[in-house]
Amino acid sequence: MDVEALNGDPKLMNGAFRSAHSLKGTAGFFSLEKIVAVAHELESVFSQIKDGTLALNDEISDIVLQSVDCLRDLVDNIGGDEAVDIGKLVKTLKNYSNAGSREENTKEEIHTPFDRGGFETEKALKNAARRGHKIYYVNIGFNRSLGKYYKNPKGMIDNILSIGSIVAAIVDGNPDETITDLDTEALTLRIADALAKRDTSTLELLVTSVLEFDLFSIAIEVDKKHIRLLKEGCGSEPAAIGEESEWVYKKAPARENNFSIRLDISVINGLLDLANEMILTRNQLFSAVSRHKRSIAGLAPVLHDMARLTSEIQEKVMLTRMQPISVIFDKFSRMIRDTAKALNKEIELETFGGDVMLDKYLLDSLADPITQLVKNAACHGLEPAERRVTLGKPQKGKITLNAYMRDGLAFIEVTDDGAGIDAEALKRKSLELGAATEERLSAMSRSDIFALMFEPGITTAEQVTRLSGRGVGMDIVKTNIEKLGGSIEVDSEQDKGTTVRLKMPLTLSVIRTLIVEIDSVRYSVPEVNVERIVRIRHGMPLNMTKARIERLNDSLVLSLGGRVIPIVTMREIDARAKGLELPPDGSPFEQILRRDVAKCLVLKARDKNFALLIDDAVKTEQTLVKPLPGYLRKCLCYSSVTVLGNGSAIAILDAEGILRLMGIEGVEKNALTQKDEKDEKQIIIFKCSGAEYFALEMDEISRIEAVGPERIQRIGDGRFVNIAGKTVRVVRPENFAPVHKRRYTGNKLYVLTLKKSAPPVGLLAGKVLDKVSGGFELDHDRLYSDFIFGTSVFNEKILIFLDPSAIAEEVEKDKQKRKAIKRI
Amino acid sequence: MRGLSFFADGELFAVDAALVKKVVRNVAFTPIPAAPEAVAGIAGIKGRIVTVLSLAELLGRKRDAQVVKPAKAVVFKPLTDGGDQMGLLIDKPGGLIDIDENKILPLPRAAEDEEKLCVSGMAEVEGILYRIINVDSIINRFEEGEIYDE
Repeated sequence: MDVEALNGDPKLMNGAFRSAHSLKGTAGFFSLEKIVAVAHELESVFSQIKDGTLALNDEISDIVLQSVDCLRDLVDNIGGDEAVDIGKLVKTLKNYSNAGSREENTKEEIHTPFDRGGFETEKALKNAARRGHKIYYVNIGFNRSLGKYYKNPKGMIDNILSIGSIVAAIVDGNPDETITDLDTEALTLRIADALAKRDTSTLELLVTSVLEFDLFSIAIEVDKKHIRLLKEGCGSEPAAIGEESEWVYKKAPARENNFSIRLDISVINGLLDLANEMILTRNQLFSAVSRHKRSIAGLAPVLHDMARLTSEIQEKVMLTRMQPISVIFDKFSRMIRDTAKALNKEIELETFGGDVMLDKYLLDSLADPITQLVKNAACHGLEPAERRVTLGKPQKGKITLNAYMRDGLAFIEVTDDGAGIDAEALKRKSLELGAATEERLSAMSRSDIFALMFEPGITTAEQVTRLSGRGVGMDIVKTNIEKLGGSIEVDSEQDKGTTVRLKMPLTLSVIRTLIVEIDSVRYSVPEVNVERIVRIRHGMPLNMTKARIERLNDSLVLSLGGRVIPIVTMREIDARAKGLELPPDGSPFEQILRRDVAKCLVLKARDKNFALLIDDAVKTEQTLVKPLPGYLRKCLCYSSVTVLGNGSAIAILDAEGILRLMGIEGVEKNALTQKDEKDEKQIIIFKCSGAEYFALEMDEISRIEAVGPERIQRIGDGRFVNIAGKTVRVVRPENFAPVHKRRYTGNKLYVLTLKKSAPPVGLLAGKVLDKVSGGFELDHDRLYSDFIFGTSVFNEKILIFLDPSAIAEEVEKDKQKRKAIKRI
Repeated sequence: MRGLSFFADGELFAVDAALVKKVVRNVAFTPIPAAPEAVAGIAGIKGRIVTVLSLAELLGRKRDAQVVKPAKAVVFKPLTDGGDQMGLLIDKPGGLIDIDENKILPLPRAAEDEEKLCVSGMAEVEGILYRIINVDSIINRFEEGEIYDE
């Protein structure tokens, strides 16, 4: 691509020239006439640039790039190339090449005795020219006594025949003696005959060869001045280039030394399957021999090595699917150039982080969305040059592509230093189209407003151009990005520019999923679709989530922080997919409503939220995604299947598909701000035996009591303390969250008695630090446990918000089971 | 033709042994709601996904409640490279039998339509009547998703 950069670098130019040439040669060999024609003209242009007879300018770069495109088309379509029209292109190229070479050619007009050649010769020449061969006229004098060039004419003729073919030959300038018998023997004989008569003899030959001038000369070991390239062939190439281009043959054509091979993707996928199978088998082996680990000497280190090796193999196989993002980025320098031309703008493109590796499939699917974004930046983002100048910006607009990795995700940014997005225009437009309402707009944050540009039909462009402006682009971009498990955000400042940021998983074949259990069947849900898990205790709405399940006509809804989210159950999905009716009395619903505890998985798909009723969230796991069996594709609710670490196969739920299948709308995600969690709350912050900070809402605690360790008594498995005449069972919060647990050494402990526990349960704390009030935004992803709501940052410390009801419930359950459970 | 005989749904069946990949015991499969009734579930066998089908459902009979897990299954070779892998739940495998292809009898006219879709005919070997499973037809119906349109 970097044709412009080539300017003035003869080596690179020569490389380009040679590429065009060898393409022509090869195509000629296979009689691919269209390729030959284009490549030939391209080669001529290159050759002129190389010689300096034609200055490389924008116009020429354009036409050269077009020809490269055309060639690519032709090469891709070998056999079906009739459809490709090359006439115009060839003509244009010819104009350029002639512009430079006309002079040269006229003065280089060569007359050879072959001008009057017979019909056969003519035909042979035309044929050769069409196949991309060059036609050379070789005139050699032989001197019997000195053996000036060749002591042995036979050697020379052999040489020529090894690189081309002799079309005609004349000995001693006698055109009447045009030799038709052209094999080595005959020619050698003729020359020998001639030399026998006189001391000197000349041999004139018409030779066709694919070699270019310099190489030809070297190959046949004849000095350049005895060779002329005839213009009848493909010879707009001036013959004089020989002298100055000594470097041509010294270096072998520089073949790039990147040691790579091309592999069919199915081979790699097969390898990946095997690697995963190996890991599964390894796990089985480990559990089978684990009992003998100690009794068999040397087994443990071998197993350890094997674990490492198999994991590494899997990782490496995974890596084979990875390619640098520069594969995509590199294409844009060309695209920007064309776009800039079409828009009459000056655009500079900068790319960073081209070495970020992404899964091949992901890369392929990203090419289109990124192209759209870059086009948008070029068309709508960057202002026309005049406007930029009046704004005091450099005339040349700048588009930056940046890729980097963070948090196990790949980020790709498309930034322009253009006009920025007019938030007001965007609002106006979405009002016009009814994509948003006045009040919703006023409640929106800046980034929410920018997100409007992804709505279908919204464009702020005044006119539709060839390149863009119809307002469908961003909608498609967003849909595609989300299909790939990624997300997209926009940041913009008026007159400063816009940044669109794509957040992508590194690979598609392995995704993070949450494994849930519904009716004792396990399913996997991609983490990107999980908004949160809500636990609802019947008859006891938690202060923390204010969640409730209600029945609304024929369906269940989750009322959460003032919003009503539709609930879907697996039974409904099953019935809908099979076209069955649910029992009209809604009995399954009643059953659910009667449950003591229900858990809902709030899912997000395409900006919509809905809830799925689950029994339990089991764990999160990295799962290897496998394609759905054919018969499952029609049921919409699954996106793929996976084999878990323990070897069992489960289906991966498709949140968007479920929405479609159930025909429900879902709640606008925008409406689902986590307001409820930002409500003003009074919390108490305390520490237990470890370094972690815990938080509990004040409303949840009935009493805080400082106790000496001696007041805590052990009865059976439990520990109890007498507080104000009541026996409170004491549990340690460390047992309910993945945190450190140590022995208390101090002589003062605190018991936080929980309000809603009967019989009373208290949490044991080492230190009560503070009581604060404020809004806390909970992060549900950092830490996962059934007994915590989430984490939040306060004064740069991470607070773990405990779920007191869940803890109290668990204590109760344990008591009922009367099991000796260590942790209580 | 070499046949593999097995008991399923209380009856004797046979299948072309060349189409069988393996017979597995202890298949732990996961039921798939929303899938066609005949799908008992999916199983991970050697890291691959295998759909296990219930022959009783295929034959249009009701499956007796949930099949006891783990079960035994005959796993068929996929029709195409990379095609879906399917298996049939069986009660117990029999043995290899030699079936004379010229002596395969058609199903009686009165047979149920469902049966005609998955049984290609009957053969008598050493005095015992086997019904021969039409593997291609079964896998095809599932791969194409036709099972939904029926």
